[in-house]
Amino acid sequence: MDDGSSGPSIARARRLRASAQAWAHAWLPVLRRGGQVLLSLLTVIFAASLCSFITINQPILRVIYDGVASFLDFLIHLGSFWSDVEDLVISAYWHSLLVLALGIGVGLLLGVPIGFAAGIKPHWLASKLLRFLSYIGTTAPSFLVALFVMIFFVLYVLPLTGVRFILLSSQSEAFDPRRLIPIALTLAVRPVAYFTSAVAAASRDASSRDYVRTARSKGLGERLVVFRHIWPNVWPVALDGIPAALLFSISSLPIVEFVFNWPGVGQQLLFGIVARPPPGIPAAAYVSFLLASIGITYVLVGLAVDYLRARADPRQAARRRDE
Amino acid sequence: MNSAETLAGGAAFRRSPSWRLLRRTAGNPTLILGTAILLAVLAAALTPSAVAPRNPEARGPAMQEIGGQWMAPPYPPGPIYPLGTDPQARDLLSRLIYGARTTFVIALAVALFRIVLGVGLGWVAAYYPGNVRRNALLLASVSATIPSLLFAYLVIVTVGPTRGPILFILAMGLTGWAPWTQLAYSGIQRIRSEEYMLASQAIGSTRWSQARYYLLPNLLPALIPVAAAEAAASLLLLAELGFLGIFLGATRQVTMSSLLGGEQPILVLPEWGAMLAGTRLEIFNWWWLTVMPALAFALAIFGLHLLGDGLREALEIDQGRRG
Repeated sequence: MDDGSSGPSIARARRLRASAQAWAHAWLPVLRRGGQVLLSLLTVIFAASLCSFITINQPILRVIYDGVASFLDFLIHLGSFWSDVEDLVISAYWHSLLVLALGIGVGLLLGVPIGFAAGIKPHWLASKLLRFLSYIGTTAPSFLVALFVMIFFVLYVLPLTGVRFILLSSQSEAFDPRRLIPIALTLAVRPVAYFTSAVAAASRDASSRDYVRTARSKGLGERLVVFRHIWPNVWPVALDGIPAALLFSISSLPIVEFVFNWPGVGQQLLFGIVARPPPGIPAAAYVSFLLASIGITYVLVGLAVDYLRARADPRQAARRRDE
Repeated sequence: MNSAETLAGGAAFRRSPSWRLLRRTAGNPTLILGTAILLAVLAAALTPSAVAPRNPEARGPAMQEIGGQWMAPPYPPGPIYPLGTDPQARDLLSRLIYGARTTFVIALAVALFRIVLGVGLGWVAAYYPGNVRRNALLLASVSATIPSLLFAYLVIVTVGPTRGPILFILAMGLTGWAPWTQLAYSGIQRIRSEEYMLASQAIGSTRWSQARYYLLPNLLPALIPVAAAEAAASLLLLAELGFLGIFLGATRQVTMSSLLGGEQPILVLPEWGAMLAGTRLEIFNWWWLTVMPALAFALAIFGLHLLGDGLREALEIDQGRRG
């Protein structure tokens, strides 16, 4: 039933709805934005509380947080520590470089001719014995070899010659080149064994090739066959083995320098980790520079070997010319 | 049995796989020697009470007449103590036998950790080309440049050797796995390019069944010999750490004094690495304290290398015959 008052009430309702819509249209974005701001604030507060909680109330997480922050700070300032540790690192580096170079040098001088002889005469008893000895040399623990060398020099060489080749405890004595001999001999054991076995295998392989058989069947003298046809195919193997032999020596370096009390990078690394360097020198920077010096040496030796190989190996030189 | 039956029986016997295996093994002295050494060590590790002459913790008398004169411990090797005693008059042979289990468990756990990590990453690199492969191989290259001994030494000294075997396994296993990544990656790539793998893909084999029936059986012969060498490398690392005064069962932090051999640790747990700790300078007074555990390590390492090379030889012959 329509009593005549329904018309104005409907119109009022429509007006109310329109004004509500207008209000919502005007204020909803503001409310939405406010909600977002509130949510952001709550998120920031939550994150701040979480970070504070895990860095202050939880020791392990705090250690990680502090550690990462300190590490970033250390990385940024690493260069500035160089002047503090320069003398120590350079001194340790030269000490190690000397024994490493001597070790590799002795390895090449002994291992290559022995391996070559064992490879071109593989059926000789001496060749078999040398191969077995090289096998033992490759697998022998460095510290055991170092101990035997130390016993030999202290108990047998010292009474005979009266020369102290090894200083067991003092760390302050001046540089004595005679001390290099036992260390270089110890470090040379694995390179000698490695070069012997690698060169022997390469010589055996080259000796069984067709061109060697052809040269022999044509009546070429044995010396010419060996030095004209076998040797040129063997020496690149010795050259390629230098980085591997260096890696062997580097891995033995801390133990050998520790046994012989030689103030090189290996010994200084061990002491730097356990006892820390002298006061005022950051231990982490000291250890970082020592490690980096050995790493850079290894990379440089690898590059030098690649360069020499590319220049001196006729096959690689010919390939480069073709390219 | 008539002659025909004997011949038939003989032929069957000769053809049997076990006979072939026996003949192949008999012609491989490297494998025989390696297996014999390893079996002897394993017998000691598995049944120490049956093999050891004494209780490893039992202390001998405070004074003893040896070679006509009264001596205080440590007693030298002789009829009573075949390998001598430690400063607490405990039998070294018994301690070596009882220590074999702990030493080998740690070394094998480290080797397993490295193998799983390296092969897993190699598998990821082989199956996921692009950035994943590049990053996986880059990670392996970076890891290869970190010296295992120094890394393990740094981690264990910093965290503390008293933390137990998990720390040792992690510190020793987190480096040295890179060769496994290269080996697994190149092996999987080679196998995946074989025709039988393409055929298995064509018939809709799942990745799992490909791995189970084609990849693993063809990959394992290359991995098994290297696994023996890896166990030897882990054992060597354990020995070197022990020599530097870091061993399982340590009850205090490493100090300069313990590192240089100025103090002898009281060893609670018989373990080969621990027996080497602090013995650097003892070699001139009581040589057996250093030499006996070092020789035990050297023998086990030598046996593992022989086993690996023997297995490689046997598997190469086997593959050559199949080919």
